[in-house]
Amino acid sequence: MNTDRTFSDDDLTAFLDGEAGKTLADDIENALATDPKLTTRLENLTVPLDSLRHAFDAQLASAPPVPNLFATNQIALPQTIVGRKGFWPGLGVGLVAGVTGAASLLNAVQPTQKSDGWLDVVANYQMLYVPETLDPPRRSTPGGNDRTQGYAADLASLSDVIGTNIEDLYRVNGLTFHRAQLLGFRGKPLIQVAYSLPDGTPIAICIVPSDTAEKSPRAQVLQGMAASDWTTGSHGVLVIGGEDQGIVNDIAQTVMPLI
Amino acid sequence: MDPQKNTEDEIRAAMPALYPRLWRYALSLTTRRDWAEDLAQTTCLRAIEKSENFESGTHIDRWMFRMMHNLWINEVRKQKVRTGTGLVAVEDVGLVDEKPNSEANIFTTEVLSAVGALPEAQRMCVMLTYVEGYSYQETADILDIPVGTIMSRLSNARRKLAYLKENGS
Repeated sequence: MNTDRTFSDDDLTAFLDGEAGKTLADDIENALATDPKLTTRLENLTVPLDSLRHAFDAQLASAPPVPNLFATNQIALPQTIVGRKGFWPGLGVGLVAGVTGAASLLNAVQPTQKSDGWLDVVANYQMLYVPETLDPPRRSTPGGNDRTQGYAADLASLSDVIGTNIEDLYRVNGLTFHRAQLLGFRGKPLIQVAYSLPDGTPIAICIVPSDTAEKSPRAQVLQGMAASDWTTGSHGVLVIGGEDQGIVNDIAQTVMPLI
Repeated sequence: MDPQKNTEDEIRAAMPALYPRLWRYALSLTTRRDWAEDLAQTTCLRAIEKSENFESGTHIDRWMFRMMHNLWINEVRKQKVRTGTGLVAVEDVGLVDEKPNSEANIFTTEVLSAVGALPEAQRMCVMLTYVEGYSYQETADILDIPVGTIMSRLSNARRKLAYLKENGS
């Protein structure tokens, strides 16, 4: 009997992996005793799994640290993009250090709506925000003027990158400033300035270069969040966050003269 | 107590041990360190966001591997593919020990390269079954495909990886 034809490679693989049922395993065992071809086939499917596991286990030592969002009682995006080579060359080190993993996450999150424009991409990213996502607010404190100046300097640097002055976005009435980030969309810079409302609701103001003709603010709902976007003739701007369209519209009106 | 808070705490507690494994699987999917970190972090954010869907007391690892897989297949991969970046040589991934080329190090490089060169579908099965140690059924559940497909992919992968035994045994 030519038992070699009895077993498929899938059968033999299951046998090697200890996943074959008892009957199949017994049949293969019996056939191996008399069929050298089957032995050869089995050898041709044999892989040094211990060595393979060992090679991949060595990778674990190279794993990045657990993101801060898993620290006890704190959810904060980790700073993974810091120092990434080739990302917006020309930026100062200090500014690059302010760019967080959110930038890479933005690139990672695929828009789920039909349009894949930047508004949808930002909305897809913003929907992941919860109040705890944002770091403790960066408020001016007694003796903390240097820090405040540092954030202003960040915004000044980002202004150079985006091509419009956004330094005044550090102070927007009714919003607590958290951070400004340089992100990227289709090879162009995208600035996200993160704030929270007094109740903790995350709000973002995002700016991209755009040669679309000037348009007035347009209220809309993106990914279930209130949003308002407009274009200045040189830039597109989006305010997004929460579900209160009135608040977002008000923020848009406040921000328009600042950009 | 808030049930969602419970499951969220459970997820947080599992992370120190689980995150490196998630990242390793992400690396095998994306073949790039930066993308792997993106994917691992996005998976964590999604897990927190969806923590109410996690059934307390069940296997967090399988739940998160499945979540990462779905995230990669349904959302992230499309965009990454659009960037036009293909596979990266394992040396370029930066995971290979750069100490003098010992025989063991050379073999490790060879193993990583061989697995990395497998078609994605086979690579997923190899990683989950042979590296992570999941059973066929568990791997099938994570990938949401029949067990028979797992067997088929693994046998194909085994044929391609069999040459390694000459050095590894």
